[in-house]
Amino acid sequence: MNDRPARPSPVAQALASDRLGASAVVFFVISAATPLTVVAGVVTTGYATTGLIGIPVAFVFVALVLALFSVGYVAMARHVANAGAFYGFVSRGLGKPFGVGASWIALLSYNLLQVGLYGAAGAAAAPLVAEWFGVELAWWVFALAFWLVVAVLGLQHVDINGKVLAVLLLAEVAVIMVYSVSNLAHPAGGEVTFDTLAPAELIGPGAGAILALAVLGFTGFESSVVFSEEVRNPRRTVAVATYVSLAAIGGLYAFASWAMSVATGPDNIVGESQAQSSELLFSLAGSQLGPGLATAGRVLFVTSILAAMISFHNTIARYMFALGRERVLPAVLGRTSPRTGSPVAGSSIQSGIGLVVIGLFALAEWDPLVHLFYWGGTSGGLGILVLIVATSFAVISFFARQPSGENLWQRMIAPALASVAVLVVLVLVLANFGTLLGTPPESPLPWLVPTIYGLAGLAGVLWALVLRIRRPLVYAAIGLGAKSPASLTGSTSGEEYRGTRL
Amino acid sequence: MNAPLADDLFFLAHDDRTGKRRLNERAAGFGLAGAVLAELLLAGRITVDHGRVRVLDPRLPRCEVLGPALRDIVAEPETRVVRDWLRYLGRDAYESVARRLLGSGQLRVVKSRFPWRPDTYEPVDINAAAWPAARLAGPVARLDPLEPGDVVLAGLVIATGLDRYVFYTASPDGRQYLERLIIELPAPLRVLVLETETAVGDAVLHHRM
Repeated sequence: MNDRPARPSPVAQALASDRLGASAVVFFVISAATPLTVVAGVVTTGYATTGLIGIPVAFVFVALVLALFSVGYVAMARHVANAGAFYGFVSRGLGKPFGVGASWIALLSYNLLQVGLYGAAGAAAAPLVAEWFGVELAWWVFALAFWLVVAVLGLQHVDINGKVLAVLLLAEVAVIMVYSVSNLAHPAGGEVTFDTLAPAELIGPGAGAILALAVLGFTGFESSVVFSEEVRNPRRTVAVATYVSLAAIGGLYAFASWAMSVATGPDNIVGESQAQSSELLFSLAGSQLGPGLATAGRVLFVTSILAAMISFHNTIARYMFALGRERVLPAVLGRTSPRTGSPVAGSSIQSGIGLVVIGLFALAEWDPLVHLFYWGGTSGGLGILVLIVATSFAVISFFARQPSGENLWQRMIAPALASVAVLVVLVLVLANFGTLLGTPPESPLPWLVPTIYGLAGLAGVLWALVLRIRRPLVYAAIGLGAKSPASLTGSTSGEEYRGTRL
Repeated sequence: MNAPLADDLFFLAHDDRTGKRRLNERAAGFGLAGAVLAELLLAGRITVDHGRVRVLDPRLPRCEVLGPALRDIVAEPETRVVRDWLRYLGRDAYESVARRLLGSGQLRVVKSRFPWRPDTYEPVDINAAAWPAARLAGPVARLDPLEPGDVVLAGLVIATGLDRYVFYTASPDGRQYLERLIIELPAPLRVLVLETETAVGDAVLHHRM
């Protein structure tokens, strides 16, 4: 019988019950965004280092741009295996060499973001430890303590991480909302101002710097498509979850950063951020709401940074797992611990990288908050922006070759508009990178960082070309998520097999 | 006659000496579901065609694991991809295979000390439980032939990550030999093994494991 069954079969029902709904995806994405790290850490150091006040309106603008980008992104995710990584999209859309290049840029970016957080460990934990125990410890003591927690949890079953992150997320959002409402209720000079939400801030000099900070705040939004094969309604759930996440994240950050500027007054926000950096949010709360809520916020800041470290660590470990599975990187990375299901090789490597960097910064006595956290974070954010631009063009190219049943808005109009928008953002960011980093004019960093990304991408492209020559079967399977069409045609010829770990 | 595939995989998924589980729930589900499908394949009841499971012979085997599994496959109106059946059968594969082993007297229940912890199982004969590992590792190390059922079993061992316990002594030559054996399996069995491996890997990437 070819009629549709009147009721879903037991198998269909069983499969559906194992699948996720939009709220699970939204939860995951927002917890990957770790709100308090951004609001207390990125926003304040951003105000301080750039001297610009338009961060709140930048969040709104970037939320809209990313929503436009997501139209094509989510549509293409329905047709791409291995949807959890930008490099899958770039491989399918722009070709495998660029895909591998994108994967190396991604590994570099996520590692910068993750390792950069160790620089904030001291800033977050030191005030608490000084208050409770009266001891002053070097920043790297805290960084190492955080590192140990991340290294251990990274090897454990993901379930522990997921539940912990969920509880922390709810607490963070609650605290941010309470602080922000309180900030609005205590405006400097008695009047609520909207200066930091003025769109004009986006056109002034240095606009690229605040846009970069906003993009940094949103990193993690791209992870919604990881669940493309695990959701109940493949067509709608991921799309809805992505837009809801962008709205929630953008709204929360814009609201909180604007409220902070209202409480200090827009003319003082930069000065106060420079004076107090990440402490600013909590000292405002302390003077308005009392020490109890301020301390609660500081504690959640510590856990938020820890959660962000864990989240990026997991992303990197899984990225390496995906690449190892396809044998783009050594196959040993494609193994998991049978007991915990954790990608242990990738996890261990990332932990090793973190340890080396902490040691380096500690021995060289570089400033952890500015040089590690801020520069590391903003540089990492630049890499993510590059990946977004590449993916945006990949979407257009992919749908141009195979419309795949998506409508014109999703496959051409929105991606084209988005590509222009994100490309403009990227150009502005690169033009203002020096302002973003806050370096003196003669510093090499503003061109050094983009150059390093360029080299990483180039190295990836060259590696792909090497694979094409020396391991054509592996090359053919790049970006296909270990599902090669040849392996499923039923042929018994050994030549068509392209190997996973088998 | 060899023991059923899924029974062997069940023993391989537990430590020989302590009986503790070596494999997390989702991977165990996929692995044992793959083994059940392999048993049905080897019994000529189903085949895998362009990635989908198709019924060849709907007569239900008189086995408490295979009977219900084939019944569900026959009753399903759509021809589904292997991954769907791995997910569906994987939900109770562990308990189902354990029940079969309990019924044949090879497993016994160990009552849990705490009411909130589930009961566990331990083999009745420890040597019999350790046999599948020896039966696979020996010939691979010596590059000797393996029966098709054992090649499939070895493939599922690799797919679930249990190879670190079974083939840890294997030389690179041994590993390559094993990989070649798996590649040379008939297409339906080969696809089944690959799909199981992909399902386990995807569960890692999709944060379901």
